[in-house]
Amino acid sequence: MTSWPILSVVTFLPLAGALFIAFLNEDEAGVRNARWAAMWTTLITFAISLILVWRFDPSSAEFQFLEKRPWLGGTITYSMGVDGISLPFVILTTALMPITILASWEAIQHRVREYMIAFLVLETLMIGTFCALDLVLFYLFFEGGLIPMFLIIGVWGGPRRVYASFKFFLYTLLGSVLMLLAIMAMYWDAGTTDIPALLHHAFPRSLQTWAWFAFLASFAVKLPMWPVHTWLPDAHVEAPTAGSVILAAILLKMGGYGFLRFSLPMFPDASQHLAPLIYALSVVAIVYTSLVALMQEDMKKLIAYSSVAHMGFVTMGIFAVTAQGVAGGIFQMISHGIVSAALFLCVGVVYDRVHTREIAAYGGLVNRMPVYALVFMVFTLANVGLPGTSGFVGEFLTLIGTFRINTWVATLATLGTILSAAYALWLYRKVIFGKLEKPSLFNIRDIGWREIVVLAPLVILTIVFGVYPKPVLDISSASVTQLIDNYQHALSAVQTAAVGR
Amino acid sequence: MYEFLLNKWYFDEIYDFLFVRPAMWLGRLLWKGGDGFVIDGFGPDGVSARVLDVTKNVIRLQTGYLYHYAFAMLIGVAAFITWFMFAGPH
Amino acid sequence: MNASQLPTLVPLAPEFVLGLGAMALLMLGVFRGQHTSRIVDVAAIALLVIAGVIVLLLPAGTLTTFGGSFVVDEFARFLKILALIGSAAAIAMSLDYAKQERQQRFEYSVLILLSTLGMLMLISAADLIALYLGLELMSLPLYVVAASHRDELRSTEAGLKYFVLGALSSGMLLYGASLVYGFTGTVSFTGIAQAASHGGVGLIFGIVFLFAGFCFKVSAVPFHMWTPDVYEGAPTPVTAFFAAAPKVAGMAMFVRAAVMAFPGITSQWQQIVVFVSIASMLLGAFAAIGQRNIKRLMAYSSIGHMGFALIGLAAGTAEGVQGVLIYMAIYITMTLGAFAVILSMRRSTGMVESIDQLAGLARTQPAAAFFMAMILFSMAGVPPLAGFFAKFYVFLAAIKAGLYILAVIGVLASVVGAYYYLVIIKLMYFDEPAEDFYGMPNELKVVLAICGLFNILFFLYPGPLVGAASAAAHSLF
Repeated sequence: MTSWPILSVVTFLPLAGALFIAFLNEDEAGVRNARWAAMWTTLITFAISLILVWRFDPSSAEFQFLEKRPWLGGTITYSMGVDGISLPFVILTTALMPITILASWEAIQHRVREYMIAFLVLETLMIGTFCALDLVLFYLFFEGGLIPMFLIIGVWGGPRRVYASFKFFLYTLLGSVLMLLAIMAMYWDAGTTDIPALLHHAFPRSLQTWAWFAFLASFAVKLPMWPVHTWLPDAHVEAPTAGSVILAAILLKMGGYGFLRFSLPMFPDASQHLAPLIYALSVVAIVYTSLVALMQEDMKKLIAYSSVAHMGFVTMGIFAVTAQGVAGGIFQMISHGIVSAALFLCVGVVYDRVHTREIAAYGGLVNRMPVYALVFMVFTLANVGLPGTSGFVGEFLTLIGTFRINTWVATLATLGTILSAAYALWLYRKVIFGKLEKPSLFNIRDIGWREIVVLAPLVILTIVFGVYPKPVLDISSASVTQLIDNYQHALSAVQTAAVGR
Repeated sequence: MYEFLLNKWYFDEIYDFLFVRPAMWLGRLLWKGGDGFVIDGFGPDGVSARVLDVTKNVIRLQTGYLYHYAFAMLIGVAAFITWFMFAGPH
Repeated sequence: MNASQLPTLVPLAPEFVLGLGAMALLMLGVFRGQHTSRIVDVAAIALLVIAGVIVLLLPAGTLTTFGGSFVVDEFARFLKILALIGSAAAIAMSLDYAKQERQQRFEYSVLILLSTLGMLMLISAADLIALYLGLELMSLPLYVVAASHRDELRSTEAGLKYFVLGALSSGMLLYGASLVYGFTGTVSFTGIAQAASHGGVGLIFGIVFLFAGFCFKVSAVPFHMWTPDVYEGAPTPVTAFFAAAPKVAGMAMFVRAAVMAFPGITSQWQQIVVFVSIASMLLGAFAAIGQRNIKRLMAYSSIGHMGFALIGLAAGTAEGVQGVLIYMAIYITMTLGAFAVILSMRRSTGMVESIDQLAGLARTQPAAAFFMAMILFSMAGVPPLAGFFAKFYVFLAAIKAGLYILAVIGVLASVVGAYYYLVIIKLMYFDEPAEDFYGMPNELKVVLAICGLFNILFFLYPGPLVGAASAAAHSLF
C-alpha cells in the first residue's frame, strides 16, 4: 500500500499530459514538444505502475491500493483498486503505451498534437477500466474509450475509415447499453454498485440470467466473440498502426477482464448453466476464424482474424473455471497483448516503407531485411504457440484446463492450433521467404534503430515469458484461486438451498 | 514404383488434396459467405440498411401541410381515448 | 378590501420584477424608438438574472399564495432557474444575429421577457386556471417571435403553423381541463388528487385531452409535427430559444399536473406517457438520420430528448421526477451549446444551415469543434459526458419502476440516434474543411465554453445538481 493515491495518479497522469499538449501550438516546435511530452508522460506512468508491481502482495487475493471517494451520492462511489486479475492488464497497458507512441513518431505527420492527445486520453480510460471498483465508474471508463478510438480510426485511418469507425462505435455501443441496464437492475437488487460488495452478493436466478446475457452482449462484442466479431477486421485494417496495436493488445482484453470480474463471480449460476454456449461459440470462433484467416490477402486482416481465434481460447479457458483454465486465459490475454501488438508493429514496419498491406505485394524480404525476418519469426512462432514462446503457455494452460471439463471442446480447439500454424507460417513464407522479385521491394531498408527499440522489449518479453511465465502466473494465482473458490461456494450454496427446500 | 518413391509416396499431394484444399475452400466460403453475407448481412450492414429504410418512411409523414399535422394530433387523441375505452380502467 | 385580504405577494417577487421590467422596457422602446434595442436587450438579460437571484433568495420551504393556485416549492425553484438561464442565454445569443440581419428590434427582448414571465407562472401553477394562464402568456409571444422575420416566407409560415396548431392544442387542453373539473368538482391540483383517487372513464378522457395539450408543448409524438417546420423556419436565435426554455416550462407543467393532480391513478396515465415516450424516442432517433438542415436535425433530436425525459415521468416515482429534472438541466446546456455553434455558421452570403458546411471545422476552429463534438457525444449519451448521466438517471428510475421494455427500447433508440451525432462529428473531424465562417461573436463563445465545459466536467462533481434535483423531486410527493 502507498500513502498517496497511486492508482489515481497512474490513471490520470496521461490525461494531465494530454491537457499539457492541448495548449501547445501546431508548429514545428509544437509538434516536437507534443511527441516528447507524450513519450515522457507514458514513460513516467509506466515507471509509477512498476511501483504497483513492486508493492503488490501476490499472496493476498484482496483488492489492494484501495481508494474511495463519494461521487454520485448514495453508494455510487469513486472506488479504485487492483487485484491479481486486474494488475497484469494495468501493467500491459502502461508498458505498451510508450512503445506505441514511439512507433508513431514518424508515421503520423499531420495533426500530431491531436493524435497524442487522443492516445493519452485513451490510456487514462483504459487504465481506469481495469482499476475501477464501482460498476458505474467501470462503465464510464469502459464506454468512454469509444470516443478516442473512434477519432483515432476516423482521422488517421485508411480509405474505408469512416465505415470502420462507425461500425466499431455503434456495434460496441449497442452491446454496452444493454449492460448498462443490467447494471441498474443489479443496483436496485443489491443496493450498491460497489464491486467488492457485489462479489459477495447472491443475485436471484432470473436476474442472474438476464444480467449475464446483457453483460455477454457487451463483452462478446468487445472481445470479440463469434458471431459478433466482424467489426474487428475492418477496424484493424483501417486504423493507423498504433491504433491497431492498442485495439488488439488492450481494448480487446477488456472483454475478457469483464467476464472474469463480473460474469463469473457475480452470476455463478448462470455462468455454469450457460458455459456450454460459451464453449460452442469459442470452438466455432477458433476453427471458423482460423479457416478464414487462411484465405486473407491483407496482412492486418489476417492478424485480426487470428486475434479472434486466440480470444476463443481465452473464453474457453475462463468458462472452464478451473485453475489452469482461468490462469491460462489471463496469461493468454497478456501474451496475446504482447504478440499481437508486435505483429501489428511488424506490419507497420513494412507498411511505412511500401504503403500496402497486400500479401501479394511482398515476397523475399529476407534477402534485404534479415533482422526484420528474425524478429517477425519470433512473433509468428509465438502466434502459433510454439513452446518456448509466451503463446504456448497460454494455449497449453487453457487446453489443459478445459480438457478436464469437456474433452470434445478441448479437442476441437486443438484443431485450431494446427490451423493457426497453417496461416501464420503461410503468411511468413509468402512475405519473408522466396525470391525478391518485385521492383518496389528492391530498395527496401532493413529495420531502423527506432523500430528496434520498439520491438526489442516485445521480443524479450515473448521469450522470457515463454520459458519463465512464473511472474505473471504468480501475480494472478491468489486472485484466481479465490475466484474459483467463491464460484464453487456460490454454486454449492445454491444447490444446498435447492435441496433443502 | 520409382515415381511413387521419388515423390515421397505422394504424401504431399494427398495432404494437399485431403486437407489443404478443403481447408482453403472452407476458409473462403466462411469468409465471403459466412462473415460477409450472413453475419454482416444480418448484423451491422443489414441492420443499418433496415434503419435507413425506416428513416425514409418516417420522413414521409412530415408532409408540410398544416391540416395533416392537426389531423395527426386528433388521431392521436382519438387513439388514446379508444385505448382507454377498451383496455378499461383497472 | 383591506391589506390583510390580499394574497401574500412575496413568492411572486421574481414575476413582479420581470413583469414590471418588461413593461418599463416596452415603454422605453415605444417612446424612444428602435435605436434603444441594444439597451433593452442588455436590460432584459439583467432583469432575468435579477429574477434568478430573487428566486434563490426567496424564503425556504414551500410557499403558496393565491389560495393555493401559485406554489413555490423546490421543484418550482429548480425549474425557474433553468428557464431563466435558458431565456437569458437565448437573448444573449441573438444579439449579434439581430445586428447582422438588420433585425434589431426592442420588441424581441420584451416578448421574450413576457414569455418567460408566463413560464414562471406556469412552473408555479398549482391549479388548472393558473396553468392555462401561464401557458397562454408563455405561448403567445412565442407565436409572434417565430414569425418575426416578416419578409421571409419560412418564418411567417413557421409562426402561422405554430399559432394554428398551438391554438388547437390549447383548445384540447381546455377541453380536458373542463372534463376534469366536471368529474372532480375542483380545479386545484390537490383538490383533484383527492377527488380522483378512483379514476373513471370520464376523468381519463379529460386526462387524455389535457395530456395532449401538454405533449404539444413538449414536442412529444404524435403532437410533435409542428416542431421540425417551426424550428427550421424560425430565425435561428428564436429556434435556440424554443428548444430551451419553453421545453423546461412545458415539462414542468406536465410533471406537476401528472404528479400533483393524479397521483392515485398513476397506472392509468402512465400508459399514455409510456407510449408517447417510446414514440418520441424512436421518431427522434430515426427521422433525424438523413437530415441535412441542421435546425431540422436539432428539432428531431429535441423530440428524441423529450422522449427520454418522459421516461422519468413514466416511472411515476420521485426517482423518476429526479431523472426528468436532471435530464432537463443537462438538456438545456447541450441545446444552448449546440445552437451557439449553429448561430456562428455565417458566411459572406449569409447564414448557412446545411450540416455539410461544418466540414473540417476541427481544423479551422479547433476549440469550437472540440466543444461541439463533446456536446454531440453528450447528446448521444456517451460517458463520461453529462448526457450519459442524464440518461443514466432516467433509466435508473425506469428499471426500479419495472418498466423494462421501455428501458430497452430507450437504450436501443439512443444507439440509433447516436448515428447522426456521429455523422456531424465525422464531418467536423474526418473531412476536408469547407470555407471558413466569420469569427464567432463573443457572446456565442461564452455560451459555448460554459456549456461545453459543463458537459465535459460534470462527471467530476455531479453532486450539487443531483442533490438539488432530488430535493426538488421529493417536494412534489
